[in-house]
Amino acid sequence: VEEQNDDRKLLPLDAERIVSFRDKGHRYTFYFSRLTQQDWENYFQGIVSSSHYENRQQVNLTDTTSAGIDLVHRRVINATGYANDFTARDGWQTKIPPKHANAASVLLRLVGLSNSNHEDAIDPERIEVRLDAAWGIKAEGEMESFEGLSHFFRPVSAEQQKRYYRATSESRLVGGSRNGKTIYAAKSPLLLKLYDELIVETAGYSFAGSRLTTGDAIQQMDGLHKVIAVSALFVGDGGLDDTE
Amino acid sequence: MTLMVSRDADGIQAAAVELMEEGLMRPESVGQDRKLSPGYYARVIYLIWLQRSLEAGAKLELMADEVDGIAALASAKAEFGQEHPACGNCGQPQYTRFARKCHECGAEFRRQT
Repeated sequence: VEEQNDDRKLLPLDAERIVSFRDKGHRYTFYFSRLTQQDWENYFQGIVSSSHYENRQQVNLTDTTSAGIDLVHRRVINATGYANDFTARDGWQTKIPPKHANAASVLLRLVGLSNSNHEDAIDPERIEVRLDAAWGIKAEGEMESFEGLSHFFRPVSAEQQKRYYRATSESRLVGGSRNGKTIYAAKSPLLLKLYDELIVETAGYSFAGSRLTTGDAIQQMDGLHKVIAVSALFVGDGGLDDTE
Repeated sequence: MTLMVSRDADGIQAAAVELMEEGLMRPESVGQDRKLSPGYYARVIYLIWLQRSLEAGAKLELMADEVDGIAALASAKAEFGQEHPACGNCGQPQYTRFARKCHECGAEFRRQT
C-alpha cells in the first residue's frame, strides 16, 4: 500500500508478524499470529520493575525478558531454519532455544521514538509523536524498517496528567520499608487507555489495504506502538534541540 | 510481607523529611544515605507535584490516600521546620536548630531566654 502524499510504504498492521535473524551462519524465521492488544496487555503485566539498594546505591531493575519469551511461546505459529522437522513435534514452541525466543521477542518489540525532523512547526493542540519501527522482513535474516510513523494527540488534561503521575508513584514493598524491594505498579494498562483518549490521527499505517483511519487507530493500532507513542507526552525532554 | 507505599503515611512523612534535608546537603551527597525503600521518594515527589497543582488552581479529584499523603507532607514540613528553623532575615533553613549564625546571609541569631 502506498501513501497518497509521498512514496513511503505504510506499515500494515494486519499483516502476519514475521521476524528473522541469523545465528552462527544460519537464518531463523519466526511467524506469529497477529498480536492483539490483549497479547500486549499480558506482556506488560509480566514485566517486573523494581528498585532496591546495594552498597547505598539505588539499583533499578526491569525484567522484560521473561515476559518477552512468554509472548513468543504463546503466539508463534511457525518457525523455519531448524533441523529435523522441528515444528512438527508436540509443544515445539516451548522448546525453542531461549536465546532464539529472546531474540524473536526483541525483534517483535523494535519500536522507539524517531529522530527524524519534522517538516512543519508543532501545533500544541495536535501534538505529533513519531516512531520508527521494524515490522516484517525484507528477506530472511533482514527486518523491514518503517520510519516517521506519526501519532497526533490532543493536549493532555490536568486530570490525565494526574493519572499518569499517580501511576508512576504507585508501588508496593516486599521485605519491609527500609531494606525492602520496591516493586512498581505497571503503567501500561493506563497508557493504553490514555492513548485511546488522546489520539486524534495517525499517519504511516495501513489496515485491510487502506490508510488507517482515526476510528481504526483505537481498534487496530498495535498495543506496543500505543504505549511508546503516548509515553512520549509525559516523559523526557521530548528530544529538544540544543538551545541557541 | 507486602506493603502499599501509598497507604504508609508515616513512611511518606519520613521520606519527605529526608528529601527536604537533602536540600541542605552538597549535591554530591544527595541520595547517598536514604533510609527508606525507593518507592517512598517517588511517592513524595508525586504528592509534591499534586500539592503544587492544587495550589496553582488545578481542579483535581483526590483519592483518600492522596489526602493522607498531602497531610503527611504538611507534617513533614512542620517536623523539618522544627529541626531546621528558617533564618528570619533570608528565609534559608538552617543546618541545625542550634545555629548561632545563618550560613547563607550571616545574620546572627539571638537565643531565646
